[in-house]
Amino acid sequence: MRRQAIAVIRTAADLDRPSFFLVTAQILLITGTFAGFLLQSGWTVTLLYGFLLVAGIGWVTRQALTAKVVTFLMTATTLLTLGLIAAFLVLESMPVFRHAGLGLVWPFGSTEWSSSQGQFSLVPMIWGTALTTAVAILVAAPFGVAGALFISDIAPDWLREIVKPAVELLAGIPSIVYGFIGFTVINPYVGDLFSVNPGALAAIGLVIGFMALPTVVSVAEDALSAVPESMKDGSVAMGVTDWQTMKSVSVPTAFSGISAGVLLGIGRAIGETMAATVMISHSRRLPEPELYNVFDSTETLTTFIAASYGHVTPGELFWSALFAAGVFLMVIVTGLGIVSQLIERRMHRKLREGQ
Amino acid sequence: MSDAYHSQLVNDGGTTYERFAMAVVAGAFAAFVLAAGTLFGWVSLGGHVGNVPVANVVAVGVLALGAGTGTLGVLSRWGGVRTTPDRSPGLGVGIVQTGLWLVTAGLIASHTLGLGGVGWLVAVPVGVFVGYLTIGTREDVGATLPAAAFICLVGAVLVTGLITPAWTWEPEAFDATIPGTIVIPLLTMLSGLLAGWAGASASERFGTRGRQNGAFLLIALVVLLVLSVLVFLLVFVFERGIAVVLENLTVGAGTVLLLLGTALVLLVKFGNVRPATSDSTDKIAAFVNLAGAIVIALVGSVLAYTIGVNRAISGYAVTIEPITAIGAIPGLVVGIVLVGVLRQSDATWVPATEAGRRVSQGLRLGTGLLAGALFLEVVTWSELAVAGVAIVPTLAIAVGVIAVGLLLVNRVASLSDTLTSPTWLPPLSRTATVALWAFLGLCLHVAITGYPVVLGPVGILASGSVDWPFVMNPSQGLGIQKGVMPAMLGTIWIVLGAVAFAVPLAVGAAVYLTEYAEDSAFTRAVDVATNGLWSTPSIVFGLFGLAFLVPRFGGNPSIFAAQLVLGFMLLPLVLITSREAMKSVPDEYRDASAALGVSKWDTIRSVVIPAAMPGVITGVILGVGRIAGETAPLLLVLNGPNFPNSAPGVISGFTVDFGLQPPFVHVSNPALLERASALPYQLYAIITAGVGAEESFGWGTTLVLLGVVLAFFAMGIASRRYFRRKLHQ
Repeated sequence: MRRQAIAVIRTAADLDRPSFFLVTAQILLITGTFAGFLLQSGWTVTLLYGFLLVAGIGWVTRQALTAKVVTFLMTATTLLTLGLIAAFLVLESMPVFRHAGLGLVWPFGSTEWSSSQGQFSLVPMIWGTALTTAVAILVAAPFGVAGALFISDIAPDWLREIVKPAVELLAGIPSIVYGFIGFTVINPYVGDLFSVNPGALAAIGLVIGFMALPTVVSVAEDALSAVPESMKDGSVAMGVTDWQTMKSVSVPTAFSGISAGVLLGIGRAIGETMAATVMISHSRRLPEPELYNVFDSTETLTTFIAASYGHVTPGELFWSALFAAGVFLMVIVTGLGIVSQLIERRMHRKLREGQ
Repeated sequence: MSDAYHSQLVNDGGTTYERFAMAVVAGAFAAFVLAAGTLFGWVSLGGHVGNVPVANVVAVGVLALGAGTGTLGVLSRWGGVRTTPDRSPGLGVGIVQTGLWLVTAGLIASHTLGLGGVGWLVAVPVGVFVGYLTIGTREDVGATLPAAAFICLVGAVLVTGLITPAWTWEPEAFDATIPGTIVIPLLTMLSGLLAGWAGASASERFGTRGRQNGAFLLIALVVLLVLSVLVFLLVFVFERGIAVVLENLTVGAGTVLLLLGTALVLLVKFGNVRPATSDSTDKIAAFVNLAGAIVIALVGSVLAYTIGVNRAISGYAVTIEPITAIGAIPGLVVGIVLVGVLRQSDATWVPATEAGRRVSQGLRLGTGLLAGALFLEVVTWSELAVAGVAIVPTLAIAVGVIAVGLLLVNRVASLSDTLTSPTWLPPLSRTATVALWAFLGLCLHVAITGYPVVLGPVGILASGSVDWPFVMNPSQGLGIQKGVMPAMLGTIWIVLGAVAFAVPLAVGAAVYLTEYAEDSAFTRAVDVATNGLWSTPSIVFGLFGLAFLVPRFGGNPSIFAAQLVLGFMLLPLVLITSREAMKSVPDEYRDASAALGVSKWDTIRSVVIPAAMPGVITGVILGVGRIAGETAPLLLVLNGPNFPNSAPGVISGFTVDFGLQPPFVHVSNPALLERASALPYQLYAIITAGVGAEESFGWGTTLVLLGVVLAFFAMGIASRRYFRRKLHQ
């Protein structure tokens, strides 16, 4: 850190006076714009004009330097976005945490949701998410890994060139389309067949699992094709079959990558909103008569947010509870995403070092 | 997999045993498909084949499968068939059999025999015993007999009528009724899987090859299932939605002919239409392209016939009017596409003679005058006329006729051997471009002024050449057919805004990260943040927009907030792909540029970014496909009327105010700050409105949404394929 700070100071000292002025003005003005926007000040737009003006002057007179500064500011935006999302979610969810404390997620106390009586508990939603995700991952993980093995190690070239885009196309189908089909076709079908109310968690889990499938396939397939050819050739040279090579070389080597894919799939399943929102019954209670009754319908974290918005006004505890659900979602799903990325990167580094 | 080997040294043909094993596999597959068919309702379990109920046929079939599977094992162990089994089928098979028998025995003991919870205690030793037997015996027996026993049990239960389609099971814990109509297909499918796996294993005479065969069979089945779900889904939506989308569509034959012609030109120019000269997948693609070209040509001739006999074709709610006139907007689109195509082959023409120079100048003058007049028309948004004669059409027709004349002269001269074409004749590409510009100008003129230009049967119409109610109508109004126009425009504006906001940011950040930044805590943090953003659920983005953006843009949901929120979602998608693209630009390019004394920024600008452009564009297209179908954030930050009756007037909404208060220059657009609809949001609105009478409208909307999103994905995948292949050449 210190070395970098010294480097920055040295670069700044090397600049001639107009350049130094331009860079400082750009950074100050854009910071000012951001601060103004945050504080809802009337000066925001004016400061933005100022930044654009200075950046324009810089572009004409000191293009290389301006490009470097502007691209740096753009890079900082990504960090800032994640920070802002986290900050605003936590900020808005504070009131309900202050009101209900740990009772919000404590499963052994009252798990009843009744906003009119000031009873806030996210336990039914968290349990609903857990159930649908469990069903989803039972579909997505085995099917996804099998698909990845097929694409990377089994399919001949011509078939791979058909299956791979097809899986990508599957990833492209918008979730509301699944939701519409789920609502108009699957819900009535499952309801009739099992004589249950529409919105069985099992059906929702099945649909969500199918939606998480392409994620698992593409990440696991990346991991499998990162296994060096030389390792597979070595195995084949021992006279074993392709399947044995897969079982004892490819899959163990790519295991961390495959598990990253499954983790990411879990994240997708937890964060999936629209298909579940239109299919589920939105009854905020635990499944009955048994907790694991996947034919009952309840509420998940995402459907809770999507369905409740519109019935609440800013500042209410209910409003704040929505953001609390958002905080849970973000911590779990974004966390899963980051962890799986780190796992994947570690695997690639290890493979490179092993070469 | 490794390509290091694969040649069969000895080929002894299939023995009877192998053929028998294959027959078991085929039977298992048939049973599986049949059972899946009953789940979808294509085959009714209550129906009859001849006089025999389908359920009985299924039962006998399952029993036969079980017998076949058992025979395979017995023949291999004791029947003298030469196979190569291992000493044990392996732990995996043992665990599967343990689980299978544990559940079977448990269900029988606790429910059929009525032992309740105690039944499961009895089941444990049964499961473990079967597992032990499986692992302990030779592979050919362990892999087949337990499976065969299970299948026979299923068959026996079905044959004796213990489980019939009318049978139901009501487990207390689930509060649901599980009917025989689903248990029978599921048991049949499970039996099919077991028999297929065992048969595949036996057909390679067990051993490692047999196990590979069994495993590959199961994996291939999974992939087949996934693909068939995809195809089924697409076909299903298409079948339900197409009639709604096309209802009352009326188009002029001339316009269709023009569009088809352009498609044909593009196909021949960019697609491979020669199957004879390509191999593997290219061959399939070439066949498809060729078939497409032939179909286009055939449809074109049918259209020409319609125009000739002057009779409208109507069918499937679509009408094709026998008018030769062309719509201005389709004309503009086609003109722009063709100009783009010609630009690629347009060599700059430098005439050698004085006459040639004069011709060149003349053409330039003509197009220049035309462009000037058009510019005036665009600025004033009205027709430009002198003494009752409209200037633009006259000029355009004159220039067009001259250009086409030159083109024809050139063509004729090149056809004959005796004539040598005069040196002043401009090349084909030049005259064709000029003619196209004249056509474009004419179309633009018609589109702006609304006055059609008609010469005899041929002409350009301002409206009426295409009437497509589903796409052009609002979703609510008196006595009109419902359409998705407001939703579609909403999606277009939101996506445009998101792209304008996110793509520069993402590309700039990618430039900084690949070219300037060294590995440091900052870049690692950015990496983590990008991946975090990539995996953050969309509803969380919506909440963020609700808490952060909405209060700062007037306090109610708006298009502008939706643009920014979807922009934030697009940011990591484009950033990751752009970074990959810039990383894959070889360092040699940068070194070569640096060796020429080019500065770092100029290298980035003129070497790195152009080389990475295909990757960036692919990323943008795929990202747009992703956000165009996104609904969850729109619920929170767009939240428009369920059935809007007008589209957002974004273009005409801009106003600029000057003042002495802080913003000083106040650019505003009330249309951008209003609630609106979008395609996915419209679909959600239909569902919340309680489908019912709107169901067909919903299927139409689904089809349009799916079409838009999948078109983006297909374009992205195709462009990646195209550029990757170019890179490898």
